[in-house]
Amino acid sequence: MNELQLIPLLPFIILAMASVVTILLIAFRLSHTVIQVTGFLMMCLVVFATWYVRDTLPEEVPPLFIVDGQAALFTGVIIFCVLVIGLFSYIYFEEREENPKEYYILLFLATLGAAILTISQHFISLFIGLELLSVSLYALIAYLRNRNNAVEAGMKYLVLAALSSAFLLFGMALIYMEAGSMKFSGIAEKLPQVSSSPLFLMGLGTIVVAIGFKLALVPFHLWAADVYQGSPTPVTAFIATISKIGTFAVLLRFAQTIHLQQYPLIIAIFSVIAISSMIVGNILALRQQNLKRLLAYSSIAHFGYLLVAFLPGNEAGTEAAAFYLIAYSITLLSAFGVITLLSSREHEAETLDIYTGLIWRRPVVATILAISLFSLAGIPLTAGFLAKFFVLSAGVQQAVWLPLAVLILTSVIGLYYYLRVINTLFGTSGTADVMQKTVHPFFHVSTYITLVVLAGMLFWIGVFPGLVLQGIRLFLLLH
Amino acid sequence: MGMSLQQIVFGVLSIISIISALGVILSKNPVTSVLCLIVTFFTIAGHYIMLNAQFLAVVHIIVYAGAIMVLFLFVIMLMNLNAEIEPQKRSWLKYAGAISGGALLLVLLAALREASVSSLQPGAVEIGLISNLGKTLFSTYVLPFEVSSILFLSAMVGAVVIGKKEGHES
Amino acid sequence: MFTDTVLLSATTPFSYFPIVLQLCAALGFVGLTMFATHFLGPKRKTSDKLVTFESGIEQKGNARQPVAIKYFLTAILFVLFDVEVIFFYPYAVNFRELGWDGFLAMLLFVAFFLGGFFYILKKGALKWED
Repeated sequence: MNELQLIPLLPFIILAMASVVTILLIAFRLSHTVIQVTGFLMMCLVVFATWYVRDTLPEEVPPLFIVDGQAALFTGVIIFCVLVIGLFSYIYFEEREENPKEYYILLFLATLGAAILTISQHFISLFIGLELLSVSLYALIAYLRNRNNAVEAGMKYLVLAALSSAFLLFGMALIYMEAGSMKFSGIAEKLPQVSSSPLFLMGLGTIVVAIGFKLALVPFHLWAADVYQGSPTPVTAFIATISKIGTFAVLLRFAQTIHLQQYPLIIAIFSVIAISSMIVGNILALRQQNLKRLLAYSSIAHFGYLLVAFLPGNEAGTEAAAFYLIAYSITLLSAFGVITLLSSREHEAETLDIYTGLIWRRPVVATILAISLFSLAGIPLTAGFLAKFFVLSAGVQQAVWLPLAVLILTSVIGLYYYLRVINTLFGTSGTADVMQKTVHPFFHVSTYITLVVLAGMLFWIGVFPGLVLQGIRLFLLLH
Repeated sequence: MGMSLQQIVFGVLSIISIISALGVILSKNPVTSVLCLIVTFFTIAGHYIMLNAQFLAVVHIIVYAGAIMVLFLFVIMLMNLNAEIEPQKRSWLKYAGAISGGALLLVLLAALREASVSSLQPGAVEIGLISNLGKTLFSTYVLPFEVSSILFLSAMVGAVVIGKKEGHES
Repeated sequence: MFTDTVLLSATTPFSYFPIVLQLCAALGFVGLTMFATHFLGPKRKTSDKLVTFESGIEQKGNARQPVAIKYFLTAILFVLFDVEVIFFYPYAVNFRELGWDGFLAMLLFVAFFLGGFFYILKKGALKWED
C-alpha cells in the first residue's frame, strides 16, 4: 500500500470525511442550514475529486478495490442522486420538528457504503460496503420514529436485511471453501475446476438471495412496500436509487469477472426472478391507492426490466443497464421530489386523493410528476422509453425471448396504473391546499428549479440520448 | 483406536452446540433462550480453537458471549415479561417455516454429500494465530479495517438517533 | 518435552488444554457444591424462607418490569467500544514489526472512534439524568 494508490480513492476518502465533518459540526451545535450547506459543498468536492482523478483511471488498489470507468460512472450517478436527495431533505426535515442533523451523517455514510460497492472486487469489501449501507439505512428508515409507522418499517428492514446478510456470508463462505479465494478474479481463475461443484452453485444461489433482497426482486420483495411507505420520503428516494445502484453495480462487476452468464442454471434463475419481478410488481401496483407503495411496486417491476439487460451479459447489456439506471434515477428523484414538496408536517403526500386535480392548483409540480410517471411508463420522448428500448435491443442480440416478451406485456399493464395516477392529476374535485411552507424561500426555489431541471433532463435524454450514451461508452471503455 | 482425540472433542462440542442451539429456538422462556445461546457461543468458540483460529475464539467469547449477550438481556428486560406475550402465531406460518427450513436443510445435505472433500487443502493452519492475523490485517487489509471503523461510526450515530430521548438539545 | 513443545507453544489448539482443565474445575466445583449442599444440609421450607430475599425489606412487586431505554443505549455503545478495543490486540502483538505504518493505521482507526465519542459526549447520550 503506498500513497499513490490512494489517489484514485480520493472521492471516497472525501465522502468519508464528509460524514466525520458533519459529526463534528453537530457536536459543536451548528444549525441545520450550516450542516446542509457544508454537506452540499463536500459533495461538490467529491464531484471535483472524481474529475481530478479521472486521468489515473483505471487503477487497481489491491486486493479489495478497483477504480475503473464503470465504478466512476456508477459513483457519479450515486453522488448526483445524493446531491438531489440532500436538497429535498432540507425542505422535508426543516418542516418537521425532529432534529434533522444526524440525518446527514447517516445519509453520507450510506452513500459511502453504496460507493464502496461500486469499486469492490473482493467479498470483504462487498460485505463491508453492504453493511455500511444497511446499518445506516436502519436508522434512516426509522428516523422519524414518532410517525408514519417508521419504526415498524425500520424493524422490518433490519430483520430482513440481517437475514439476507447472513445468506450473503454463508454463500461467500461456500464459494471461498471451493475456490480458495474471495477476490472476484481469484474465483474466476478457479472456475474451471469448481464450476460444477454443488457447493459452489449453492454459494452462488445464496448470494443471489441476498442481492435479490437488496434489489427488492420477487420473491424477496416483501419488505419493499412497507419500507417505502414508512420511511421519510427522501430516504425512500435513497433506497429506490442509491442503495439499488450500488448493489446492482457490484452484481454487475461480479458477473463480469466470473462470467456468470455462461451458466445456464444461473441464467434460468435470473430469468425466473426477472419475469416474476416484472409480473408481480406490475400486478401488485394495479390497485394501489398509495403513491409511495405504488412506486415501490413499480420499482420492483423496473428492476425486473433491468435484469433483462443483465441477462445477456454482453457489452450492449451493460450499456443498456447503465443508461437504464441513469434514466430511472432521474425519474424517481423527480417523482419523490414532488412527493417531498407536497408533504406537509403531519402527513406524507402519499394517498392519491391529495393529487386529485393537482394540475389546476399547482400546474408546475403536477406536470413534473406527470412527466416522471410518463417516463416510468416508458412513453416515447421520455428517458424511460429509450431506456426500455436499449434494454430490449440488448436482449434481442442475445435472444432471451421469454423475458423480452414478458417485458413488453407487463409494460402495457404498467401503463394502466401510471395513467391512472395521471388521470387523477387532471381530476376535478380537488381538496384545498393545506400546505404552509415555513422554510427559507431560497431552498424552496432551488428545490423547484432542481425539479424542473430533472424533468427537463428526462425529456432531453429521451430526445437526444447521444451525449449520455457517448459518456457511458467513454466510461465503460476505461477498464 | 477408532477415533482420535480431536474427533472426540469435535463430536462432543458439536452435540452440545446443536442441543443448545435447539434450546434457543424451542424454549418458551426468553431468558432460557439467551442462556442456551451463551452455551452455543462457548461451544462455537471451542470449534474455533479446534481450527486453531485463536483470535476468533477469544473475540467470540469477549464480544459475543460477553457484550452481545448483555444486549440480548437488555432487550429482554425492555419487554414486559409480566404480560402473557407469547403471540398466537398462525399455524400455517409455522408449517411454512418448517417446510422451507427443512427444504434448505435437505438441499444443503445433498450438496454436502455431492461435494468432493479433495478440494479442501489442509494448508495454512497458522493463519488464525493472533500475530499472523495482525500482520495481514495491518498490511493487506488495512483499508477495510479503516472502513470498518466508519461502519462503527454509523452504528454509533444510529443508536444515538434511535435510542436518545429527544428535546434535550437547545 | 511434551509440555514444552505442544502445550506451551501457543500455536496449536492443544495449548488451550489448561484452560479446558480450568473450566472443568470451575464448573465441577460449582456443580459439586450445589449437589453437596442440597444433600448435606437440613431443609425447612417455611413460607417466609421461600420469599425472594430483598435485604429484609418487605417484597414489592417483582423484577419483571420493562427497564428504560437508556440502559440499552449505554450497553450498545459499550459493545461498539468493546469491539474497538479488541482490534488493539492483534496490533499490540505486532507492535514492533508494523512500525509507523501500523501506528498510522491504528491512529486513523482511533480517530474515527474519538470523533464518534466526542459526538456522543456532546450529544449527552451518556448523561444519566434525563
